[in-house]
Amino acid sequence: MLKKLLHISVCLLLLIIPTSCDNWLDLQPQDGITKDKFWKTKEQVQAGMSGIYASMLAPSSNSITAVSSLGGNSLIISLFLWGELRADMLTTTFATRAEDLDIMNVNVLASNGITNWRTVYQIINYCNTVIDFAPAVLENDKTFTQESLNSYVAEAKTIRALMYFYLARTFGDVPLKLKATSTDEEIQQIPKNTQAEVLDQIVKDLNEAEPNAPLTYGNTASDKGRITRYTVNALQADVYLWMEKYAEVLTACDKITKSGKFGLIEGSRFFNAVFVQGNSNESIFELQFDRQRLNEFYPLFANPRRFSANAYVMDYVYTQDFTDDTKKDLRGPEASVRATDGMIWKYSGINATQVRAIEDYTAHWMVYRYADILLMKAEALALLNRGAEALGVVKTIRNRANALELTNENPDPSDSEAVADFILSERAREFAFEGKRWYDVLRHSKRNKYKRMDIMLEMVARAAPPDRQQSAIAKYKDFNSHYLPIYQYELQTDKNLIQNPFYK
Amino acid sequence: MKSFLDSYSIFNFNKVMKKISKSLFILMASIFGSLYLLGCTEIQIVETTTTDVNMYSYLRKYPDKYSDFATVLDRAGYASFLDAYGAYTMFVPTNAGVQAFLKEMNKTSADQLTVEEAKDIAKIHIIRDTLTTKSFKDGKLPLITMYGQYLIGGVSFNNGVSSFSLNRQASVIESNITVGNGILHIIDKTLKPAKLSLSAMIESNPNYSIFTQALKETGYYDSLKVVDPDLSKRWSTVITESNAVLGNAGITSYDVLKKRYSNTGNPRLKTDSLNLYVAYHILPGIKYLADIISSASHLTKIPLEVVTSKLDGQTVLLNDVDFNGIHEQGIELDRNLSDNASTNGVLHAANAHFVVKFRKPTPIHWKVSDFPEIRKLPAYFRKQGYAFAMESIKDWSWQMNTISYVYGTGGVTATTYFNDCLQIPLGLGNAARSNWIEMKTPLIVKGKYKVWLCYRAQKQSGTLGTTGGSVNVVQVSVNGDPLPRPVTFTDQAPTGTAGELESLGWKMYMNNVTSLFACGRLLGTVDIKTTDRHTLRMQSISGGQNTNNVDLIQFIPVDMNQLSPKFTQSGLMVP
Repeated sequence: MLKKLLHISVCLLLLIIPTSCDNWLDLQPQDGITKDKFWKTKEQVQAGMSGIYASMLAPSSNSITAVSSLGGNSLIISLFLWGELRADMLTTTFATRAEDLDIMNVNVLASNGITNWRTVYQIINYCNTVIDFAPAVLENDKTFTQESLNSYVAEAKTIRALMYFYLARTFGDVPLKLKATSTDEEIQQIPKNTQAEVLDQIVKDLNEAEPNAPLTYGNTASDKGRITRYTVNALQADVYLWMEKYAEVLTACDKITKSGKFGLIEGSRFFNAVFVQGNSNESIFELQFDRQRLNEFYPLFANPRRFSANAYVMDYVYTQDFTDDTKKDLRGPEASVRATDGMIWKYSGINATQVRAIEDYTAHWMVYRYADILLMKAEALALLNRGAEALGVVKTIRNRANALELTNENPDPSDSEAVADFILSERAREFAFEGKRWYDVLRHSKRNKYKRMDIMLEMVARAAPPDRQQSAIAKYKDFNSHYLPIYQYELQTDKNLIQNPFYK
Repeated sequence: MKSFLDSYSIFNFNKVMKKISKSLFILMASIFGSLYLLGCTEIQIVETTTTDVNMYSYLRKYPDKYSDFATVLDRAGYASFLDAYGAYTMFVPTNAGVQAFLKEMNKTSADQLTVEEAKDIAKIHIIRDTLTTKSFKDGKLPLITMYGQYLIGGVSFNNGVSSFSLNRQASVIESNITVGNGILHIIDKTLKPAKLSLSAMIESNPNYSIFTQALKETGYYDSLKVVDPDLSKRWSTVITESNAVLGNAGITSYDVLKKRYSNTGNPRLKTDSLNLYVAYHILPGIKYLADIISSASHLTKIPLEVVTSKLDGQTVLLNDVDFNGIHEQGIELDRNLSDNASTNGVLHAANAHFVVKFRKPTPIHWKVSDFPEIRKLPAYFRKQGYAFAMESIKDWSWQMNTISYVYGTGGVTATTYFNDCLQIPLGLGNAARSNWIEMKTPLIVKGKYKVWLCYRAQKQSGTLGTTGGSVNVVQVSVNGDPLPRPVTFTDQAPTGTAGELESLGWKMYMNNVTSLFACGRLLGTVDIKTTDRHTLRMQSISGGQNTNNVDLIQFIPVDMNQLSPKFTQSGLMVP
């Protein structure tokens, strides 16, 4: 009797074990492809590269659930908020959120979700993945050439450099992660690197990328929407400008100006060609949104309209000719801002009067355009005491835009600081709401060991609410306050990170 | 009878043994054994809902940092309530901060404090609500401490580091520590409550000797000495003038001041001009600079007399106004010498001598369609029409939809001043029109005025002068007081001579325009009590239409000619 029972149970066990084995021991995920099945063909490298660009266009994950709120804003929403909230060109509306208001009031705490850098590090990780794994494809796919591998790696390194450049300017010291995190075992708790270390890495990446990045992909959309050698040069110029290496800025800018491939769009076509159609002759690198992937600016600028343009923009940045309303700055009313109500027009208008419909919020995000190259060049010239040449370049920009005479500061060409100040004002006119204003002000202020702190303090005195003005000025006297805090979630999960001392 | 269990009982153990093989028994024994061992471990049941400590326990957790302040709380008898449920903000001085404070009091340890002393120290550090550093502004914190004095927040910059500061005495070292019953901020020094009253504070500064004597002679010195237990009556704000400032105005001593202003010889009289001079420098309520600039005007001790204030760049200005088209430069408050907290208020210092301005009531011809927002639109202002959305005009508010700026040498504005007007849709119980609109007037000097509303009568539907079609009756009120006569925008003036019309409350306000629709309606007499900008409200009380074409609102002193000046389309005033 007992023996029989034993036999039966053994048989049953034997039946169960082999079936369950399959699930027990095979750890392949069922909803994705693993690394050893991927990275085999050149098409997969291309897919990896497309993934990087897709991640730069990816939407925000700001739904109300706790988990996804960690995901934070999309890349360009972050870039817009980081570049504009602390500057002087936005004003609040009744749809402005508390977290926006805190930053505008110079009241940032580490719990503010806008300081979440996760989206940017995600993109960096996608870049790291291509840089780490694409070389192995050469062995598996004989049709994949060394040349195209180099080109892909150059693209990935440039995007990584661009992302780190945003991080270094926004947070100061940030952790430098240069290896891909592709499995859970590779998740590391890494400490911060100094801003200088990050900048050195950026320079190194760009120098490696430059010779391999293609000059063209054969069609306009790719030439403007993917990294070309000119993008590398543009980024080099920007980075060197930040590092106060002005001779290198000129070298980088000249590579672009001498290519003869870019120019300024003149006259009434300007707004339509550059901002409405996109991919213009003026563009060097832009993020291309379309109806499948909207830029998410609709709630910011249209409805419920989180931000409007500060009255300062029309009153002082562009100004108006009250005697002759036909004279106006091409970049000002009905281009950057709707003068009648302060609506941010750069991303909202189809022409001078018509607003985009919600499904047409597809305006591209300008990363670099030719006007930027010229003004970076002018800034470097000014600071190399070549004021007259610098003013010549600024004049080109102003003439193209029909800038009003009222905004011509007419600085003495031999006074490099005055010329630089004029260029800073011109940049405000040229790149209004393109996420550059704060970085421009910070770059000019911090020059020569913060010799021009007055620029920053003057700006915050203007931008801060009256009852917080004096506090805001006192805060900005501390250099550390110019960089955002590390988001508290990152501090909790990475114990090696140390908060910026200003946010003690 | 044998029970079923009996066969398994210990007495039958041997019998059962025989039935089971030895090995199986060992197996079972070991299973039972291991189960027995497992059962031994005690299950940890979490009985608390959180492991967060409360304030007092938090301090006791770090004795090397906060033990001294914890001892102060012990002495004060506050340890238990700070460890109970609640919502507090506490500023915690470090041990070094407490020690330095004790040294000033010639004590060596917190145990030597009396209970009262300990209570006072503790109370100034505790606020009965939670405040994060977000609520730090340039002036006082939004809530009062248990001590009954406000703390002044702010940011100080020392040695390249900015930190939040309190009462200009202590810096915040560590901020926003959340504990079970509130928020802690760690500060480097012990806070000291203000000990001087406003009177004593002014008197203690020799630079204010002339002003002090004026305070004494006028009797305000005594009232500014009192710390009223009633918080709603306790606070005053004084704006002093230093001897140097008075000297710049030629006032070198109190006698000169008295000679210049005291017209009755008795400064104690409320009607004496010296008394008024001092009273004009005292504002009821506690107003730090940040509070002063947050509001456009402030009442003074002189009944119904206000000072206006504004922030120009970083400069706080008083009485900087445009009056009748002329800019009057304001008086600057010295930031470095202002915001001094006392037991019953706050003390500021002006950079220039100022006195109450006695202005004679002056007619105001308020061109309603001329405001900063339309002037900023050169493509529209006096060129073409424009519709303003809600919230787009700073000092105005209305219920819904747009109000329109209208311009044209033809059409309804053919007969209006500057050929433009403002079209304000109003209606009662209409889902598409505002029931009311509120607008800020220009500065009006206190006094009695007749209020005229000059408009271009129009019926949105129907014919003017007939009974049919649109009707819109609107009640106008100034500062909430309704004017006796409503205006009907769909009515035009009756025919008659200027005198006949005036007696009926009508006038023709345009020069050389005889059309009856270009008319002004007398709404009544208003007593403007303060020289300030006031709120004018139009409210529809019957009917409704869009075409309420408002051109001018006039405030003309009652004793002046109500019919002139007249206006032209080209923008002239004809006396």
